Amino acid sequence: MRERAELAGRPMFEAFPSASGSESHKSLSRSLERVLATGEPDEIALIRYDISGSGGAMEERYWSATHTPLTDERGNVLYILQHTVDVTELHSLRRLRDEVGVVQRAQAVQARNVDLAEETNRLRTLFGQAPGFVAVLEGPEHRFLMANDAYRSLVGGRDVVGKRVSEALPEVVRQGFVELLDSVAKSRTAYVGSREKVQLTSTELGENDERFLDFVYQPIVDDAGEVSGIFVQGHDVTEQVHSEERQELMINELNHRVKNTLAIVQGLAMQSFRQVEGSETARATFSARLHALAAAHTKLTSGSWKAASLRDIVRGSIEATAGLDASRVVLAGPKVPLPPQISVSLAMIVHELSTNAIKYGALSVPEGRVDMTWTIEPQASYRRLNIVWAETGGPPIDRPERGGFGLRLIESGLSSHLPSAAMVDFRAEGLRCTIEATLWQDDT
Amino acid sequence: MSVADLTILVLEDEPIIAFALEDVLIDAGALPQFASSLAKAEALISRSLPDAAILDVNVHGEKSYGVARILRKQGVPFIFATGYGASAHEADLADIPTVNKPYDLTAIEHALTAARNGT
Repeated sequence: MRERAELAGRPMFEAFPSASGSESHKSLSRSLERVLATGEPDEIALIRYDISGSGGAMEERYWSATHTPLTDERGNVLYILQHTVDVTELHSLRRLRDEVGVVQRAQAVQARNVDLAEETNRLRTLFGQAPGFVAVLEGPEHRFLMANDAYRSLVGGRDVVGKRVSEALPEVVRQGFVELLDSVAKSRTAYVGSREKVQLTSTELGENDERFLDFVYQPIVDDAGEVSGIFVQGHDVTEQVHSEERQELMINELNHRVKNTLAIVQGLAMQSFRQVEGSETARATFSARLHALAAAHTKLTSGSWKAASLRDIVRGSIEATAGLDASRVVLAGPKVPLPPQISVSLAMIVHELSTNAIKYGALSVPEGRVDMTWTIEPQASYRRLNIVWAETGGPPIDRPERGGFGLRLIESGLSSHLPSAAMVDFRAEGLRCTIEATLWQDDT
Repeated sequence: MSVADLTILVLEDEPIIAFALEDVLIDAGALPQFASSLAKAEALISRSLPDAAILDVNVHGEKSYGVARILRKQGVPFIFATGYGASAHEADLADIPTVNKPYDLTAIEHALTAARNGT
């Protein structure tokens, strides 16, 4: 027994000394530090803490302790109330199995608590600093249990923890996000949103902020198999979406300018050669070639100048040239993406082949037809493209003595800088054109 | 729809394209009327309604949708001509047939047929 005067006003570890660095000292000081740091009560299920006995000698004693903070109105910890129970007797009556069990259990619980507290802190730090936004919603009302730094910054620094989604972020309700959460909870199926637009209202300015998000709503299923909450995780992809929109706008503008320029070139040609006697056929040929070029351009633009599909390019060119007769050209081949320059070359070649077929070949008579087939052979570092244009049912045609522009264009192949070869064979059953080209993996 | 004997309003701000289109339409027997601005097109329409119209979408940086809505109200079949492709029109005009520049008489006649059947 100690007198009040012996203890009052003295530091804890002076009144009740323990070796600095000992388990007793560490355990007690950590508990007190936790109370100061969190403002929350802290328990030590079991602690060995020796005190000086009546004779002044240290006695081995075991305790169970609770530390409760006493705070002012602003929540600052002023005092810590220590409540201890001396469990030394329990601890010393080891021979009695029950009690031994209690003590061991208490020891085990304490050890586990220390591990869990460390693990929880580690996870909380990880969660808080995760680069994407993360939040955990609880219950059917979707109440925020946790939200990390990125999430808070996404919603304009608003304090969301403890609030319902509809209360913390009222503007998202009419955008359907609460309904979406309801359906995720109900269906127990995750929802994956890609580039979804959300309007967030910044609290300070009251302004709407439009963001694009990639996110997942993942239902959290408890041991009983019930949905207890929803895990929200995602990334803000607004900058990416905006830069793609800007690029699309520029490509669209570029296409418009090019098309307008082609239309002007067409106008110039028509005006220039209009008065030239007998130029009608030449003007029509020129106009048709210009259209084939423009059609290939349109296909490339719709694919943002990335790879265009071989079938689309061929189909577009044939339709622009042959109109209703286009259905007599039968296409067969796998899906092949083509780089822009090859696409334009192919469109022009197919235009010349179609024009020739309409004028002299298979499409000049009702019973003729064209089979256009292609194959692709993968090699180690490139792919070999083979295209065959085979006319049947038309009148036989001879190779002209001097090849015109059309034939020269066809036989120049698909590319001047990639290995490519084209051959036109004027057979009795109809014209046959074979085109070979090398497509590098990088081209598509 | 053949353009022969029809008065056709052409709204186009690029003179060379307009000249070429004029020749094509005259050769096909049509009576083209030219407007190089939105205001001129509206003035022509208020004077007398054309039988059909071909509207460039982007006229001196402005869209010709106002003129389009006047024509639609009056029941005049019309088409858009553009370098942008059909995807860019405003919602209520999304179904208007559109020819891509550079265009030819066949494309124009096809589109006008679709426009007449649509109105």
